[in-house]
Amino acid sequence: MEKKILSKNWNKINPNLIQSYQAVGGYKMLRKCLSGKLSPKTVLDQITKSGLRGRGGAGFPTGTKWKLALESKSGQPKKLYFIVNADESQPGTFKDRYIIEKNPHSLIEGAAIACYALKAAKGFIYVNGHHFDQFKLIEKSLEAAQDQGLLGEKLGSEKICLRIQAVRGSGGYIFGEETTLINSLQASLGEARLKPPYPTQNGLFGCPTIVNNVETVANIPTILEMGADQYRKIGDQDSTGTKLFSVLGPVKKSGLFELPLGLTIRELLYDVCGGLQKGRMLDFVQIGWMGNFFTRKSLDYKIVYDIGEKQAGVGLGSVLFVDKYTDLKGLILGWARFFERESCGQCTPCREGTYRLLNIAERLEKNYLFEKDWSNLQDILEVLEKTSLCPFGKFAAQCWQGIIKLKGKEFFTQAMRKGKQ
Amino acid sequence: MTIQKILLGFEPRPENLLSALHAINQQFGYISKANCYHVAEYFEMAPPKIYGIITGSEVLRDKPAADLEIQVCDSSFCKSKGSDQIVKEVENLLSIKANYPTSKFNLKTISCLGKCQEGPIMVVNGVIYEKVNPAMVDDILKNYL
Repeated sequence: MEKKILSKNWNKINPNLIQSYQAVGGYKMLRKCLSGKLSPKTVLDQITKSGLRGRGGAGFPTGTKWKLALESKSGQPKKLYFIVNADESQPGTFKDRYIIEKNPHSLIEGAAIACYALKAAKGFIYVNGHHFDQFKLIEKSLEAAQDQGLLGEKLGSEKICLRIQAVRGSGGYIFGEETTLINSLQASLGEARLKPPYPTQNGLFGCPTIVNNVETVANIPTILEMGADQYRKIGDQDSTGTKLFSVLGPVKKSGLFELPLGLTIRELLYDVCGGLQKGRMLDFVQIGWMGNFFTRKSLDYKIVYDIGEKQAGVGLGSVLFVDKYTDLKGLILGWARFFERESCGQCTPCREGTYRLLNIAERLEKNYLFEKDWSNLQDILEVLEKTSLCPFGKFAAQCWQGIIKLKGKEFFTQAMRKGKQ
Repeated sequence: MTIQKILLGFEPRPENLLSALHAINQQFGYISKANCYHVAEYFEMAPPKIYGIITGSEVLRDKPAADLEIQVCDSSFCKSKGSDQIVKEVENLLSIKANYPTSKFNLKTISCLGKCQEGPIMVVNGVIYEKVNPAMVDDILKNYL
């Protein structure tokens, strides 16, 4: 079931040595670009044709994003910036950490090719502030690539300039949101911007900017190497290629797997993870983002980007199997704590809403809910979902709505405080 | 290294501000008010904005670190693996309360570090301990006290 394209060289190479990556054919595509055998247009066409979609959760077609940015740049004396979003911090997701730790050069090659294809003034790799080791590794790898003449000024026969800078981020979930990331890079406060205008029109320093996820970027050299047509054959029709899945829960085999998109939840559970551990019974499974729950009845749903009939949104590719023994109320409290802590406090619905939700979650865990909590919860979720500035507030609401949809009102009424209120 | 020397290592452009702040934070352990003004002057920005960026960050500090910096992940998966008991155990052993720092100890609950498989996670003075259970806490902390 596993299909190793992106991860084919993991554990075979030494991530600290650029020679090790070059020995398995690394930087071949970038060299082709620099020698003029691959034109920027060909790269753009190949990426568009491959059907690669953003691996950071939203699944926006990468080629389209690039074209939008190029369009808003054309005819204007503006620069274009390319940013790799390596600020992974969603609970239960660790795919970007693996890519950086196992093969940082694949990311750098992808970023360099992207900068070349887009004629970007500068590329940035924004690494989560908490992950100092990853930042060091990327910085070291960038230096090694520079020494090899793969990055820098006046490269190749066409005197191409490829500059990529690693930036250690502020640390915190909200900095992974693209507009907050851009604000943080241009020395503004870590707060989200209103969209539109999208970063492809008005991003870093007011210039068109492309923000791509680590996994998206690391896929670029592989796609160019195997060709867009070959890549399209993997996966589903509208969700092509492979995706890294971080699987957690009481299954026999958990961890990180590279799997073709379009597989069913059943295949993931039984063929890849070997089924649940002995004596466990599946309650539900959460895929992609908090609140995207599927019960045992929907095991035959396909895991793809779109959400439709018999389709399960893949999101970030994080999968959490929850069985009947898992402390569900504790899990909800964990989520509520996460949202309360990571809210940046810019907009009122999110700042206040996540705090109130945490209070409710704390009472829920102690089976000490007030009667009015149920109606309050509805109000908070509605306001949070409809009025919060960035998607963070919506995620916070979705997580609760998922639980309500799955367990119904009874789950909450059973946890109500007994006696007079 | 003095603050001026650190700053001279960076071009005064907005995209370098974070890197400069991280360098200062590493050198001195925190970014003092006086250093905030130095940074502001060098990058030609308003000092409150620099201060806002520092306090908005989870990594940069505006106050010196405590002698013992302990972080425990308490969100989602680590929580369901029992990180609350670890927090309680640390609180009891050191007679402190989580998220109320003293000059000696600072126990902070944090969000995901991407090591969910190896959870629960406890970080002591930058060293990450994996698969921690309450019985191990005493032994881990003994190394630092």
